[in-house]
Amino acid sequence: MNLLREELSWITPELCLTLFACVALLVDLFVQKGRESVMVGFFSLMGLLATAFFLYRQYGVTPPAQPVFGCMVVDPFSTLFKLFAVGALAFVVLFTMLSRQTRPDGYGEFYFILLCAGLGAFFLASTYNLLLMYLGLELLSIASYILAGYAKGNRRSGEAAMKYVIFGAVASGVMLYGFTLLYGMTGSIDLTVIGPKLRDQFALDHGTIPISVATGLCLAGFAYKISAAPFHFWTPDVYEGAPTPVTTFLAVASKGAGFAALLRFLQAGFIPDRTLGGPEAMMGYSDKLGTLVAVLAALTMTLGNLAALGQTNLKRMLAYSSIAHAGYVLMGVATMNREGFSSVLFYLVVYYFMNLGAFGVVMYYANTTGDEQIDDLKGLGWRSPLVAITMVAFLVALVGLPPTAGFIGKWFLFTAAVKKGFLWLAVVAGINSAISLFYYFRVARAMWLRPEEEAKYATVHASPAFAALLLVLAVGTVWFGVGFDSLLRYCDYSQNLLR
Amino acid sequence: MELLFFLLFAGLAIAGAVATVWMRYVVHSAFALMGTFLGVAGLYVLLGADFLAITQILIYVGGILVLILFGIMLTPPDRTERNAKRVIGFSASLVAIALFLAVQIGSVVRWAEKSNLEAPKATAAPIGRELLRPDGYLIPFELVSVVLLVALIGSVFIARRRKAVRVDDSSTAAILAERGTLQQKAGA
Amino acid sequence: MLSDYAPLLLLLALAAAFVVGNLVISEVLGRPKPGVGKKTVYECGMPIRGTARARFSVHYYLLALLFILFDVEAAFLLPWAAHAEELGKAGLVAMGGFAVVLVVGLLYVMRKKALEWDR
Repeated sequence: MNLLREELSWITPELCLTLFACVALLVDLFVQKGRESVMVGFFSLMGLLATAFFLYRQYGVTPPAQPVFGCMVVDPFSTLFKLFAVGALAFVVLFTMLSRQTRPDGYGEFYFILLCAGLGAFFLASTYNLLLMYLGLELLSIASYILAGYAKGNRRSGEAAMKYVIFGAVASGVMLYGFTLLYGMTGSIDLTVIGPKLRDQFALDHGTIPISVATGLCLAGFAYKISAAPFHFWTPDVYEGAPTPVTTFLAVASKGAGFAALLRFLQAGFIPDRTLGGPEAMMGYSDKLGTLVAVLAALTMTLGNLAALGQTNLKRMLAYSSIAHAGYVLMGVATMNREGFSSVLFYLVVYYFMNLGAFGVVMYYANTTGDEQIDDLKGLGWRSPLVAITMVAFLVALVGLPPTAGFIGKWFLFTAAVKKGFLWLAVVAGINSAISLFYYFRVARAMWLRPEEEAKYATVHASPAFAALLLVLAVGTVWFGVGFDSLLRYCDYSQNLLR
Repeated sequence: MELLFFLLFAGLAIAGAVATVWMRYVVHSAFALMGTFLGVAGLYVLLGADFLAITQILIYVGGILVLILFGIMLTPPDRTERNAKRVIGFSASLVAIALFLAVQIGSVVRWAEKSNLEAPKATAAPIGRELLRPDGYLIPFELVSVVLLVALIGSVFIARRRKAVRVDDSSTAAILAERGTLQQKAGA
Repeated sequence: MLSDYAPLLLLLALAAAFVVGNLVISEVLGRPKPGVGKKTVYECGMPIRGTARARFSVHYYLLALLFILFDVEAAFLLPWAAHAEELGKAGLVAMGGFAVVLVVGLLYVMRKKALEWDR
């Protein structure tokens, strides 16, 4: 019984999040109409705060040696991801509450489904068990499909949801097939058991085809989730059509959780412990896998950046930009070593700030004007200077210029890639970053370099709380650009993954 | 004897799958899909997974197939049903099947070992025990309930009748009215 | 163990044989009496108007969807229910948690009047 209680104490964040999600839903049901959106939002925030508190308590404590309940892993890696998922959720909930949109049906269910999507992301980031990984992925995906189609009368929202469902269902099926092949080969659904067995089997010379097929299928599923080429085709339409808070969540938390699962999958399954030695074939295979991921990274970056150049819709441009960023992050994943993964974590944290901010500005602007075209941003700099300044900060971070954290993040990714021998990839990434300058600064040019008289909208007013949130994100972006030591050390420490 | 039944059920499943893709009318495809589900249930029985076979029939045939048929019923009829060029579809399917077989034979068959496992007598009790064992599948099991709940809430939300006015193409088009006044103020 | 399924197979075979047999026998033994009216769709004796595809309410679909979700819940309840005593209090608590989450869903359906069609 004590053992059970101790194990339960390790999953208090998840329990808390589930409990508050259900409470939020019940509040929505039993509170009189009209006030329910605010109340549900408030409860969701309380729930997120409580979850963050429980996560913070797990921060410095030594993780349990065995996976909790046989399948969940509580280590610094998962705590980091969960903290940032909670942060992203909190920002999305706050943005939604502060936006002046009113919907006849209210936002009661929205917060519930959003919190459940966060729960899915929690599980996805903290398990080596293939079944739990798949379930977490499905919870995240199903909640995302519903959220993408949330604006019911809007045709583009419905189209976004349809495309997302169809694409996601196929990708999930493909990934599940890969998982079942892995199970068939090794007799276990725990990656920490599958990994050594795969390396043993290599010694038995079964050839690489079976493993390659299974890995390829699984990678296809992960690549869909992180919108890496050539599985990225759903991203622009879904990001553009979904309501902007949902897009924010998808771009930030959903992608982050996908990367977390991918990192765990590669770490446990395919990266041999070089100190222990092992069959030469497996070492070579790990390098070949890294090269494959590197090629995917280059493809993703290039496609994302080139497509973004021609966009006139701000949300669609940000969608392609997030595809390109997935490419940069994959560069770090391709290194398949500790330093590369730690730079991946760092960049994901930085990416959270940048993207939450950029999409927050889109929400701020679109809320009061109903407009998402880049060119119609003209004159915004003179009308709402604070918001425009924060937008410039985010844009600069997205390009990767100092002194923002985007620069530091890209620096670490580049050095990790070069050290591993992917000089060509670093060069491609550098060229792509230079290209991205053009489309990011088109936004800044529209905001500041057009005369005030051309401003399309008289005033873009929103609550000061909204502007304050954006300011917080902008400050974070710059702060991590200068004082990045502690974060880097924590990312490196998070690499002590439970094996 | 067992081989005969395996061929029967596997054949039913494959024939159903092929028919689902090739049938002219959607309703016929749906019923062919039922054949596939029944074939798979038979295969489960042959593998000794009796609970899974029952659940397959209960949920897939009794639930999902009904859902598919309702979906077909609710969508407007396609006047041009199955007008796709059959030759292209046929050859594409052949290529896909050949690739798939190559992958299967190249990977799964080479790895397979003969297993000497005895099929359990009845599987409902062991499944129940494993599902509720804390060290077993308890967490995935509880997570399934959340997944079901989310699906429930989402589907009810999406299917509910909306009492409000239809909005047109703009993510935040509730502000349309306001935009009118804003543009007036800007003197545009 | 597979021989336990023999009665089930016999039942399936008999049912199929009954259906197919009746159709075949009536085709073979019956006297052919073709008529124009026999091949048309039955609409209570009236001449046919329009196709069979009328506009149906979306609530049918919602009903089927809710059925599936609760059917899956029942399928998960089955292995527990068959051996509830063996699984004891711990099993009851675990299954109770599962059921409670879905009861919240049921409450939601009831409060939102999702299954009332006439409003």
